[in-house]
Amino acid sequence: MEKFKKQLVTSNYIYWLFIVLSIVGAFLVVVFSPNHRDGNGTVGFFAAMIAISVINIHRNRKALKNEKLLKEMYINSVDERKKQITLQSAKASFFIILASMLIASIVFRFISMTVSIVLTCCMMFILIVYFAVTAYYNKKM
Amino acid sequence: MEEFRKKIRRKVMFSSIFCMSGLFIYVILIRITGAPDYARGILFGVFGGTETVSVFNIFRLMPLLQNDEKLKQAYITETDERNTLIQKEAAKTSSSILVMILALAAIIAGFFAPVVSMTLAFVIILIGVVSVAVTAYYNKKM
Repeated sequence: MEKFKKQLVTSNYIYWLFIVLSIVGAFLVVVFSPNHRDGNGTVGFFAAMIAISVINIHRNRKALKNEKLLKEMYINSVDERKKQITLQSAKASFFIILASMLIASIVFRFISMTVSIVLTCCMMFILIVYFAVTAYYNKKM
Repeated sequence: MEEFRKKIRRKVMFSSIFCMSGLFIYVILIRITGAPDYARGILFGVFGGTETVSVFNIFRLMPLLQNDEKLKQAYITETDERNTLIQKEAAKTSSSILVMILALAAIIAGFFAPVVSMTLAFVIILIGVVSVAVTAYYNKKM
């Protein structure tokens, strides 16, 4: 349980880092964006990141103060069924996403070349990351 | 083992259908849309790749159906817990890394090319939607 407490404290620090980076990012977008309309989406993204981080920090702090809540969170985090669902869904989602992007990239060849190229690059990037991570786990496990 | 044999048979069938339909779609797309040269080249590359993979799969799986020893070996390899766990962990970690890098790329691209930024943002949304939907499905199923 002490290890889990430490994990929550560490994740709170990471969330604070996210908040600081988001504020700096939003500030840079507002100051340097040539067209304010284009920057709105990015500022919205940063705002969402800040909101999610604040919610998570609040949840973690509550758990750190309340033993019962902490225990509940700990049980949830080590629940084998939940772990299996997360892993299984990650694997299935991964292949669905790749297939959807492949179809989208073919369709966009006829509509917008830029979008199609971006999607193709994303696919290649996804595969490179996947193979690199697989190689890492092959060595580690 | 019979279940695995059926699975292999299904895979061979799907690969054959995929191979044939890929060729059909390719011809239709080129004929009907009159795609420009560059798009033709890319389409040829994509469909060439998928056809190669399908044919490779058929040639790899067919001998398994004819040889029980090979089938058993393939069954052991496929059900190996370590391999399965590595695949799942890799997919999970890759997804997290990808979302972070794509988000960063979308923000940076926002300064130079709004179209690229929007495309990357849609990819992130797609990853989120698919992940939530598949998790909900497995929550019900498992």
